[in-house]
Amino acid sequence: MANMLTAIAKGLGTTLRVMFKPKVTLEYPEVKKPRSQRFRGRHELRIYENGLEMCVGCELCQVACPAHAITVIAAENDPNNPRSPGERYGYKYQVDLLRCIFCGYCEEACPTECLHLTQEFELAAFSREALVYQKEQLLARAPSHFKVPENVYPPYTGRKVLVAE
Amino acid sequence: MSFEPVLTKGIGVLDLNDIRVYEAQGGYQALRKALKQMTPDEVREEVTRSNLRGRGGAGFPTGRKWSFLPNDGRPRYLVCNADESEPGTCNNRILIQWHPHQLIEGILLAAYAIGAAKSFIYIRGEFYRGYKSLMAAIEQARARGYIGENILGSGWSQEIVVHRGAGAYICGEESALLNSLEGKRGEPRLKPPFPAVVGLYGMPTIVNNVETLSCVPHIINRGAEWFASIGPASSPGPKIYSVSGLVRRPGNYELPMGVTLRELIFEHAGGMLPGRTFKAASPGGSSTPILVEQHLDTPLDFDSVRAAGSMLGTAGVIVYDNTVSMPKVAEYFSRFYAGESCGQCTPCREGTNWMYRILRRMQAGGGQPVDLEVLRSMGTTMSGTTICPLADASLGFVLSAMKYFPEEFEALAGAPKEVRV
Amino acid sequence: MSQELVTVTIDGRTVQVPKGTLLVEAAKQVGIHIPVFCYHPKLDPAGLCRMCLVQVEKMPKPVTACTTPVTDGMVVHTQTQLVSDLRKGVLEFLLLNHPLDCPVCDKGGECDLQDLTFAYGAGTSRLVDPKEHKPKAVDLGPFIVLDEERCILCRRCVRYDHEVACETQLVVEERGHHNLIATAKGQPYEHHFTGNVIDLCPVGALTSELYRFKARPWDLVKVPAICTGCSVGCSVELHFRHGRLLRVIPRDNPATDGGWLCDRGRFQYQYVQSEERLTQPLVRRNGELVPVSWSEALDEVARRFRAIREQHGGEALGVIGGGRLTLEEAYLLQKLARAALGTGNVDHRVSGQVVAGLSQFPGRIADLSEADTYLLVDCLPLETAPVLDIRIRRGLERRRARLVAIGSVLPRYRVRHGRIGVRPGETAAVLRALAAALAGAKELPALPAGVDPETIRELVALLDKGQKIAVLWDGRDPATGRTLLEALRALQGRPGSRSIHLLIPGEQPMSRGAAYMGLLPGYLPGYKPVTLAQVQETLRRLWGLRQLPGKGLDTAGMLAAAAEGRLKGLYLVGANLALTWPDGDLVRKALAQAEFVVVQDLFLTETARMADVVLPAAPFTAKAGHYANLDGLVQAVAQPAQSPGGAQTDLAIFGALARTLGLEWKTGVGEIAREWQALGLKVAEGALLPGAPADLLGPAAEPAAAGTATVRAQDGELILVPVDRLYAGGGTLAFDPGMARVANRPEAYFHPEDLRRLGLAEGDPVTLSAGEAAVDLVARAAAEVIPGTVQVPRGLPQAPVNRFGGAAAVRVTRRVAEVKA
Repeated sequence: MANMLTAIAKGLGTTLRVMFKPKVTLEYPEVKKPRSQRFRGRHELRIYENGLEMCVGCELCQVACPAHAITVIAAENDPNNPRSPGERYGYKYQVDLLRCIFCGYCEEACPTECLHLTQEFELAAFSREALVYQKEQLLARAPSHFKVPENVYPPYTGRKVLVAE
Repeated sequence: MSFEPVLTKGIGVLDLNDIRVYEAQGGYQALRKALKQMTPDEVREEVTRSNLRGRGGAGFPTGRKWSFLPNDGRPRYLVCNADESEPGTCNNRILIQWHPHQLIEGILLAAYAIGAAKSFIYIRGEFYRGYKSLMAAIEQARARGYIGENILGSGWSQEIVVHRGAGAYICGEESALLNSLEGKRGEPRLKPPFPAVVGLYGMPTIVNNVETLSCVPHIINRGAEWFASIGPASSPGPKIYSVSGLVRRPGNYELPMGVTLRELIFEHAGGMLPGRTFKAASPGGSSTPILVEQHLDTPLDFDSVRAAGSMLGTAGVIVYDNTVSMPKVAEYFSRFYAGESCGQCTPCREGTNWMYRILRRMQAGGGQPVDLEVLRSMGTTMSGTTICPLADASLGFVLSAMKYFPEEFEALAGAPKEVRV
Repeated sequence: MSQELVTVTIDGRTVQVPKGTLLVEAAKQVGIHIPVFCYHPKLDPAGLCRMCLVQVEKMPKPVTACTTPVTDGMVVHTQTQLVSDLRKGVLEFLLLNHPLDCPVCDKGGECDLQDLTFAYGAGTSRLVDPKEHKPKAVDLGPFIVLDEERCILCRRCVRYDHEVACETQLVVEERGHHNLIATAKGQPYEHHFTGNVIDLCPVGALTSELYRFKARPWDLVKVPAICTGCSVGCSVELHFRHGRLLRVIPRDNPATDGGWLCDRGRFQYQYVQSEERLTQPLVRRNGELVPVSWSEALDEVARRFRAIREQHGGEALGVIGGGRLTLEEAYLLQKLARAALGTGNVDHRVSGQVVAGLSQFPGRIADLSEADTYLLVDCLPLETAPVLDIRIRRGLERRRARLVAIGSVLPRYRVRHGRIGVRPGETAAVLRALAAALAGAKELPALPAGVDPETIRELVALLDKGQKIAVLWDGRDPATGRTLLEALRALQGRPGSRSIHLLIPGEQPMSRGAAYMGLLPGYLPGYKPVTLAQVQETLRRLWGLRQLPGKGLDTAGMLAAAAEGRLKGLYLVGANLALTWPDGDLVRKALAQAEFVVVQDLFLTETARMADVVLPAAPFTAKAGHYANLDGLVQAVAQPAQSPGGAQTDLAIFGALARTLGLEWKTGVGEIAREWQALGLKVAEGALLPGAPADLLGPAAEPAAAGTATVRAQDGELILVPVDRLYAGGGTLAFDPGMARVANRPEAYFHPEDLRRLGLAEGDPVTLSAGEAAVDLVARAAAEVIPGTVQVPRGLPQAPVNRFGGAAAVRVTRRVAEVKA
């Protein structure tokens, strides 16, 4: 009898003790578990502080990708309405998130520090097509703090023609 | 030892542009003698025995150069290099402008000796007055029958064509000169083949300096032994030294080859300016490494100057005194070479400009310790790695000044970072 | 080989090479790589970049391996500390002001500067100052974009332009580090071989306008192929990305291209993926061409052809075309005509060219690189087979070869050459006189006006001196061909030894192959006459026939018969006759009169619009098979590079049509090869197909009129001469967006004197008219035009010169500028 009572008291004691400890469960999705600084989530294409895209369409991410998840097609900038500094920009940019293994090689390959992997991990959709992210979905919403390296990419002023004598 | 000028005799006193005055001084006698009494081979032999060495800078024996022409029946050409552009040098200019007949006679003799089909004078474009007096002299000589068909009844004919350059330093290099003469870009050619084999319009060509050719009439007139007796045996003859820079009496001084730097500066050029002391001198124009106080007793002939670590070059002596900042002069000269590189060879095209940019930045106060390392490394990457010696020339002053006056450059380059062990 | 060998030691490895070999090449033989930028094996050594400096024992200074010929006993070191320092130094210099835009550079990934920097460069830059900038994205010419900043001034492009293309358009401007690549007087860089500078450029300074930013090198799927632009058959490599053809580069075949491509071969590829390409068969219903399925279209074709054959016999059907097909397809097409349609009316000739290769005086393309004398008869190699012209130009400038051009169209060359200009039709008269003179006749036959007998004698003397004589003829006028052969035979018979090589650039890429495969009336495959009993027997057995159709009509005959209503059904394969046939009116009449016309082509061409059924064919990228070029060389394409899409390859269409006609044919490449074997035809990679027999040129007895001008101009008239232009002609060119920038505009070329006499100025709008026919053009002056004539490009869709039916006397009137409402 006494044994039983001590056991109950012991059990209640545990309950009581745990009641005052910090909670381990999270109110997901309202609250999210903090992730590591180096967490590799969805891709994002940064933009310069002046609003130009940092992506120059060099395709190095594409060639670095071991899963062939990235497709880039470049085009020449319109000097009157440039998308990126310099002559070339990424006209088409696709990441097939179903193929992506989030290894981060693409981020490492990016010569302009444009492409990076964000903390976002909630990547679910109702169709396969919806998981092939297009450039519009990948572009950052807000400018970054990066400045255009003018020495590398001087402003593109368009084609020059030969001056006939 | 008193020395009577040979090449410059009469300049400033007589009107040597007048052919009658020149003839009265014994002019065109050598040509007459050669055409009447000597075979071309004998003329060449005489010049070879005189041990005349080319005055254009390299000091190559002229007679030997003439003997390199292949005997294959192709027409040969003689080109007189009158594109004197070396900074600090002005000895050809006086010979062209004030003693043109001596040059013409020398050209005719050389053309006779090598059997040239035609002679060309490539004159620096800026020498407008020299060009005028040369053209006038050629007309006079033609009227007297020294130029044209059947000269002096000898059956030998010669034409002299004068071409003005368009202002490129590099066209003083013999193969660039030939390109320019052909109407191409003035860029040095690959050697071999040397101009003596494939030269102007692809034909065997001899290119000689004005001063070299001006010596030839005197050798023919007075004999090879007389010429060889002037100055040191290895590089004999009279030589016009152009002295410029911070001396009392800058100017051209004709002296026997082998005068010492000290004698030239302190006896002939009047010594340093009051209250200044000698610091350094470029013995052969801006391209040559500098000589400093310890070299003052160096005889200025080809071999002695080479032994002292420099080159006689064109004998354009530029004197710097103790007020001169060597990095400043280096910047000035490097700017010149950056502008004059033809741009063919990578090390010269990029190196000369980089050198100038570094020295300019150092002058402006932006020097960095890495700059000296870069300049020194150019001693390897630019020296002897290009088609023509312009890259070496651009290094001449900078590297030697860094060698003798390192502290001046280090001061501008900023103190090397302290290393804590 | 009696060539003297020298022994040289490079890094301790000893090699024997012929005397005069450059050090860099000798090193290659022992597997030592000496880095170079300015050196290119096909250009003269220049020694500009100084990357190849090596140390040679007993030489005071390092020497450039690309300019130094090896000498006996030479000891070379390429791996010393000094050499390594110098390489580092040169790379540092080159990269000083080289922009860091490798990520956006088209060359990135196949760039010599990148590769060599990786291999030999220092890891970091010591440049403190900002980089210097130069103009970027300069439009150098229609196809070339120049980036001066990336340029390392190796001058390969300039040297190529002067040494290989033999032009003087590219120059170096300014000096020192301000050096710029530019064009002379700022004119656009425009000739037929500009594209090669893109391949030559070791960095990304010269890039292709059409390929710019389209892909990176590692994206590309590379497929070897044969260019089908003209009859040279250059070896090319096609570069695809995502199934789209993005670039064409040469594969360096010494027998054909020699490493250089013409701009049309290199840049005309976008038509392959043009939106306008036909992807569905079209059938005319109620006067409109409407898309239908393949089976429907083939059923229609089979039904109508069968009906015509049953009603009027096989001779009421005709097959024209095949000069653009592979050998397999050409063979199958003639088999289809003879065995399935039962007609002998087959001909591949669509443009008035009679032969594209004769069995006499056989020549190879490579002979042009060795010839010391060139004779051009009515021929513009630059416009019809451009790559041949590179060899000729180099021959003229480098080997001091001599050249004489005879004809109503004359070429333009920089160096002195002989020119005998005549009116159309008179070339034969000149050649007859030449033949007589060569045969030793004292009295020469009558010469056309303006040609001096002395000229002929000079020409004889010149030909006499030649050891290796290359003759080029356009293959059009049979009388010219007969007299040309007569003259060449007379030349052969003269004392002294010489070799004579006759080349006839084909009007179509496979003219010679199609002729050999029997796409000729009266000739079965292998030029076997249709009357030859033995071959008839073989073929009957092979094809399972009771009766082989006899000799049929040629193209002209078929068109005339169709116009008269005798020929009911026409099958045109890759033949845009409305533009290419010399008599355009006849074509229109024939196509209108014929009951049933099938056109098989890539596009809805002028001819296809008049057809009853249009079958969409696939371009060369979707084909495998064998091609034969103008000297008969057979080249194989092992695999198709692309799928045919909605269209079908010609081979598949012929096979399907045969099956629809109820025949059990096996039409695979292997079956056709077996049939060739049975016929004794040797067709394999590298084989040489023989040329056509000379009987194709018609009877030897020539009418007296041959050799006189075909037309005479009245007062105030000029003689119109249709002329070949590389960028004129319908077909694929008109549908290629990349070609729009260079496509020939409707222009008429006058001799400057004529232009002045007519009171016209350069650029004036003019109308040429003769009778009812008239075309509107723009006047241009060209010194090479023969006075009294006016040249108009053949095959311009906007101004079809075939309205005049060949050479004609035309009246020139200035058009009043139209006022736009």
